[in-house]
Amino acid sequence: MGLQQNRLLLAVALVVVIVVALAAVYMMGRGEGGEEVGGAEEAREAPQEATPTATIEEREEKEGAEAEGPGGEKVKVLVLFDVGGRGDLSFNDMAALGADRAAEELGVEVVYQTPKSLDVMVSVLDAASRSGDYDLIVLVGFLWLEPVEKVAPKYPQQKYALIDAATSKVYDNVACYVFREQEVASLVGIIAADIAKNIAEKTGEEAKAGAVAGMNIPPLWKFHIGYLYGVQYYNRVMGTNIDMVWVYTGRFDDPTLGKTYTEQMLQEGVRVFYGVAGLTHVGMFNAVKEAASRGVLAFSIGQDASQEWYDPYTIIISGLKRVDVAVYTAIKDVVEGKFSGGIISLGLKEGGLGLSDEEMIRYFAEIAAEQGRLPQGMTPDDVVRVVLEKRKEWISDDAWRLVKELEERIIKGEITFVTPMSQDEYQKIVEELERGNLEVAVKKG
Amino acid sequence: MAASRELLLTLASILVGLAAGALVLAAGGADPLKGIYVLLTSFTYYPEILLVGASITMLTGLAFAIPLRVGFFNIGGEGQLYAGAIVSLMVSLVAPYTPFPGLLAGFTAGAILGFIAGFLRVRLGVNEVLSTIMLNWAIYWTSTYLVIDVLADPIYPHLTRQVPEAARIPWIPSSLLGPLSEVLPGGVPIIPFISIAVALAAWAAMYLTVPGLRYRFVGANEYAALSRGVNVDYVKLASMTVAGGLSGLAGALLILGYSYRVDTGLSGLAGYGFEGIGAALIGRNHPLGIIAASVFLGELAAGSERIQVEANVPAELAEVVSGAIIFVLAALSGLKYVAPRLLGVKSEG
Repeated sequence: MGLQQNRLLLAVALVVVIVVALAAVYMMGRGEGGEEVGGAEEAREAPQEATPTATIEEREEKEGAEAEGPGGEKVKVLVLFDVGGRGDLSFNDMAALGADRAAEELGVEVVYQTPKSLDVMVSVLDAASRSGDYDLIVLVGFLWLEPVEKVAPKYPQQKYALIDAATSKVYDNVACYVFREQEVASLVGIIAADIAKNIAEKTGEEAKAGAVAGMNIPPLWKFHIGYLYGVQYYNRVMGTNIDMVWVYTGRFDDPTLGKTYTEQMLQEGVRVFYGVAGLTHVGMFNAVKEAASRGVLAFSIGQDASQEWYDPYTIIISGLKRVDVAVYTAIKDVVEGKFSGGIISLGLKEGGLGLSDEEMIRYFAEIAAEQGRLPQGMTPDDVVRVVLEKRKEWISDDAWRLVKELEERIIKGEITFVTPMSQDEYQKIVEELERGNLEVAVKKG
Repeated sequence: MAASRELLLTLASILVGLAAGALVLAAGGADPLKGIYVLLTSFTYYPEILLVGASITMLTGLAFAIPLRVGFFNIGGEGQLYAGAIVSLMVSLVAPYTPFPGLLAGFTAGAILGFIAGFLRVRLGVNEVLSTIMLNWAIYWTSTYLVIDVLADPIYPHLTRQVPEAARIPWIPSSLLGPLSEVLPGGVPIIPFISIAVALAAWAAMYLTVPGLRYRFVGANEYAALSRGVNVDYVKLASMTVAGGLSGLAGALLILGYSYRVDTGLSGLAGYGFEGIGAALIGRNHPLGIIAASVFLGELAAGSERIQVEANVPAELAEVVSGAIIFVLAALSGLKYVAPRLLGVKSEG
């Protein structure tokens, strides 16, 4: 019995040694081109020695102080995604785009982390702040709002950039980057009204513009006001009478619900659908796609990221919330020593909002292609081509002219939208806008 | 003799598991040595994640191990934990004075679920794997409903309201830690000590008491136990009920001692129940083994956060690495039963 036991132990030990040895050989082969047979020690130390030298060289190349932190070292940035992480083809992917650009253009070092759950967010943020390793911690999305409010006061030296959310109190070390969503929604409104008009002319039936929204909460009010403003702006200038139907589904995560609402709206004569409901408006895309396959002329409009790739035949344009610009700006501000706590709002002027152009459509189509999520048999080139063809066919030059005109007026500061502070104020603005009183949505002076 | 052999086998499996993790890292284009090093040392950076993760998995591990010995697969640890978490949160909101009512309610909620599955099996012959999995879903959706529609925080709609201060399980502040305060500036949660005490109590109950003897008797040979007058059904039902209660307690500890609230996707609760199965397998179904195994799993949880930053490993790959390590470890635990037969050694029973 004892002998046999020893045999068993020996066998197991042998297996372990073999596996470990194989693994070690494999790793060393990958590590340093397999030159040294000398030992793991040297192989391990080599890259560590190489890193500082490379940094110094880079620093000398840069010469200027632009990429250096307070200590004269390379600026180090930690980007913390929200729990969803990369691959969402929206928020988190755009944030990564901006940080990658900063790494490339500003020569900063960027590391990424996606916490596993909401539970560990506070621990993760606390540990990163305590380490003092980072010149800036970028927090992507409103899920970080609560953790940063807990942690930031404890580490006044640590700089934070919170993207697309604002703390209820101003902290000197937290810069909150928010968007003036009305601006992009107003441009989308013009496009939507124009497409509806063109559809009505083609079919001879009434066509309305519509939107499938998430919850009835303040950020969505801004979209509603902007979108309605755009439609009415179009009506006023072009002398048309396009109606706008705005529907709250109450959820951001329920495609089935989005589809049900969209089908009802299709019956009511809505033909252009603006999706401001996160995952819910994927159901809207699906409903419009199905309607189109039955021969109904209808189009969708995406929001936040360029979403045309999902179905280029019916998704004609997207309103962009340039999370990438926000992240890039946050990092740039730190590099240039311009960081300051408080709320920084981004709009058309800062390039923080916009309509999807060829470049953005292609960028997201390519990520989607990598993940194998493009429609069957399509390449990113096909997506771009189809979308541009559809735009040519269904969006008139008048609309583009109006978009440009409104955009310029917003950028010049002639038009600044109001942000309603209460449900009552919001309702009143919407009612007035529906009557055609555009001025109610704009700040005076 | 058997114990030292067990230990050696486990250590060997850990090495093989780590080698598997290293291979995954290398295949993913990361530096495997550095990756494994970070994976094993991150407790210094994230002590809380290790301590909290370990204390929760310890209890869900026991919740799998205890019924397993008498032939029950309790896959319901996940749902029992959700129930314990939500119920303890609700109780703490209603009675915001001490954590005790919340803990008791959490245990009871889990125990009721365990009892249901156990009762269905013992009385009606319903397979407990099916019933616990189905109960998991029932509890998941009920919890989601409660989180979104009943407990939501008006300021942060994606979170529930918080456990009131007085109903929380306190932390040991770092000022009381003396020399350790450097390493643990955030203080130490108390829940790991509670979990370890529970695991030790489970061990003592199993090996030092008469009901524990009956329980082990049923586990060793059901029919022999029956013929000796042991109420087998009762023992089985009791083990399922206790197991459910332990998972429920785990949920309560998590909410009252660390996270204080639940999010709408239940992301803070998800996975602990299933990780417990891993802890039980790695810990060889023994309370003391489970303590060690859950500490190891807690370290992996901390490591898979840290490795993203230190070794530039994406979050998904980090999950695959720790998954590979757990898988190999758990699978090798089966070696105990398979290897002796392969090598012609007689089974020791």
